[in-house]
Amino acid sequence: MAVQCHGFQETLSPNIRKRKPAMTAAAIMQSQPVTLRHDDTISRALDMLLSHRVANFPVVDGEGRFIGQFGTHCLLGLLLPKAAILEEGLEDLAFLGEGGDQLRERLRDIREEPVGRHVNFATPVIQPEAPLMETVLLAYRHNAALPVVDEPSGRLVGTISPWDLLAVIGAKD
Amino acid sequence: MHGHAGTASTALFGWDPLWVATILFIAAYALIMSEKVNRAVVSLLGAGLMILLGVLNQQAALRGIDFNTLGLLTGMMVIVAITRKSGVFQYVAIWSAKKVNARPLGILLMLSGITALLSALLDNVTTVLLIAPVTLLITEELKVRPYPYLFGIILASNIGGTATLIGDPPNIMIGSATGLSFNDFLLNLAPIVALIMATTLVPICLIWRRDLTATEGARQRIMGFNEREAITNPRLLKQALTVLALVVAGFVLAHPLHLEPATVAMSGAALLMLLENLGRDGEHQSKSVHGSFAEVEWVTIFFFVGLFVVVYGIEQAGLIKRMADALVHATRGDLKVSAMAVLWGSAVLSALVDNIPFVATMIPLIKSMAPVFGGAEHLRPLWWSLSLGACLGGNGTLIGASANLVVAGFADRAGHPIRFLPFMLTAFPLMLLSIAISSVYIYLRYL
Repeated sequence: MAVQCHGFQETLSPNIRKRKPAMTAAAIMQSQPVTLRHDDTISRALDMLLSHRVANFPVVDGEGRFIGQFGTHCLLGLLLPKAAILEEGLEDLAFLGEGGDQLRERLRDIREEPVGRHVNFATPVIQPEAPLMETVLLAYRHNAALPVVDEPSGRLVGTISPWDLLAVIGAKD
Repeated sequence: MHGHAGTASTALFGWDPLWVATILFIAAYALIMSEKVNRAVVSLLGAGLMILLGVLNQQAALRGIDFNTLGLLTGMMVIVAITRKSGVFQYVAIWSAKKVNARPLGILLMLSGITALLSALLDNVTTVLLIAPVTLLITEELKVRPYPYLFGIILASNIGGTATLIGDPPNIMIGSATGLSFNDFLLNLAPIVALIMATTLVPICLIWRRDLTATEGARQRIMGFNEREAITNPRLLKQALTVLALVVAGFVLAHPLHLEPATVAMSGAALLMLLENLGRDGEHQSKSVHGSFAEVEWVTIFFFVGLFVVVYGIEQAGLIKRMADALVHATRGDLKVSAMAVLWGSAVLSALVDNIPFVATMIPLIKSMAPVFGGAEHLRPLWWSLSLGACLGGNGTLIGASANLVVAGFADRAGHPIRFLPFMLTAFPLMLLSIAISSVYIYLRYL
C-alpha cells in the first residue's frame, strides 16, 4: 500500500454557489495550469518541481479530470522512513546519521513509479463560480495554490495561487 | 432506604436492589463489549445510575472506588510520558539490534525480550507505542517483513506485563484489592513469565524462519545507526532514570514500609516533574506540567472510576455472593478445580472481552470465597490464576488487549495490516500454550 499525503477535503456550500458575486474564481484563475498526469513518473515530477519551484502540481487523468495533487511534501514523505512520517511514529532521526546516501537510494527506488500511486487525494478544490472571499479563505486555510474544478465533469479548469489572489486584491483601481 | 453501609434494602420505587444492580451491570457489560459507546462513558453512566436508582448512596459509591489503583496508574503514566521525551527507549531498541549484529533472528528475540521487560515495569500500551515505530524502522532498513516482529512485540507486551504488580491493570487491581505486594508478584509470577516468554518465542521463530534473513548491506545500515544520537535530552534521561530507579525501589520496599504503590508512583511523578522544571520560569513550567498531565489516559482512569462503583453496586446488592456460591457449587468447593476454572475461564474470556471489567468483577467474587477455602490466606492460588489468565488471555485475539490494537493500528497505517483471523490462528494456540504452562506451574507450586 502506498503511503498517501494527508490533507483536508473542503468544498463550498451550495447556497454560496447560488450567489452571483462580482468576482469569481473563474475570473481570477490561471486557465492553462501546468499539470502532472497520473502516469507521469516521480522522476519527471521531481524535474518539474525543481524547474517551476512550486509546492504542488495538480494531477489529472487521461481525460483531464482532477485526481489530486503531488508536490514537495509528498515527495519528501516518500524519501523518509515510514516509521517517521506516521502518526505516533518516531520524532527524531538523528541516530540514522547524515543519511544522504539513504535518501538518494530511496529516490532511486521510486524514480520510475507513477505519481498517481502517491498522489494526495484529500486536497482542497474550488468551483469556478466561487466568490472571491471564499477563495481567499480557502487559500488562507491551506496556504497553497487551489485547483479550480468544474463540478459536474470533474475536469481541472484552472488554478489559483495566493499570488494571483493578492495581485487581484492589491490591483489599483 | 439506605443502611449504615450506604447500601439499600430497597431501591427507587421499592424495587429490589439486587435486580436493579444486576440489570445495570449486564447492560453496562453489554455496551462495553459492543464498543458502540466509549467505555468510560458507559461505566460512568452505570455508576451514576447505581446511585440515582438507589442501589448505593454517594458515600458508599466513593468507598467502592479503589484510589490506589487510580493513583498508581496515573503516577506511572506521568513518569513514562516524561521519560519517553529523553529518547531512552529508541536508544535501547537500537542498542539491542546492534548487539546481535543486526541479525533478523537476533533482533526479533531482542526486541521481544526488551518489550517484555519494559512491559513488566511500564504500561503495555506505552511500551508498544515506544517500540513499534523503532521496529518498523529497523525492518524497513533490513528490507524484511515487519509482521513477525510486530507479532512478537504484541505477545511479549502481554506476557511481560504479567510479571509484576505494575505491569498490567489486572495485576494493579488484584494487588490493590488483596494487599499482595510488588515482591509477591515478582517472586510468584516473574519466573513462570520468563519461561512462558522463552517458550512462546520458539514457535514464532520457527513459523517465520524464512522471513528472518537480510542482506549484508541491509545489516550494515543498522550497524551504522548511532544509538547515542537517539538520546535527545541527556539531562532529562539522568533525571528520569534516577526517579524510575527510586520508584522501583519504592515498590520493592513499599510493603515493609506500609506504603501503598500509589503513594510511590505519585510521589515519583511529582519528583520527576519538579526535577524536569528546575530553573524554568513559571510560564515554561506551567506548559511542561500541563503537557505531562495531558499524556495521562483519562479515558482509562474514568473508566476505572465508573467500573469500581458499578462492581461495588452488585457486590453490595448481593450478586457477587450469589455468583461466588454458584462457582463454589460448580467446582464443589475444590481449590484445584476452582483455580483451574479461574485460570482457563479468565484466559478465554480475556481473549474475547475487555479483561478490566472481568477482573473487577472477579476480585470481590474470589474474596467472598474465602470462608469456603479456609480464609483469605488460602486464596493465593486463585489470585495467581486470575492474574495469569486475565493478562495472558489478552494474547488470544487482536481485540484481547489494548496493546494489540495499538500495534495493529500502527501496522495498518504503515501499510502492513495485521488481520484479525490470521493473527488469531497463530496467537490463540500460543495463548493456550501459555495457559497450559501456567496450569502446570499453579498445580505444582500451589495445589
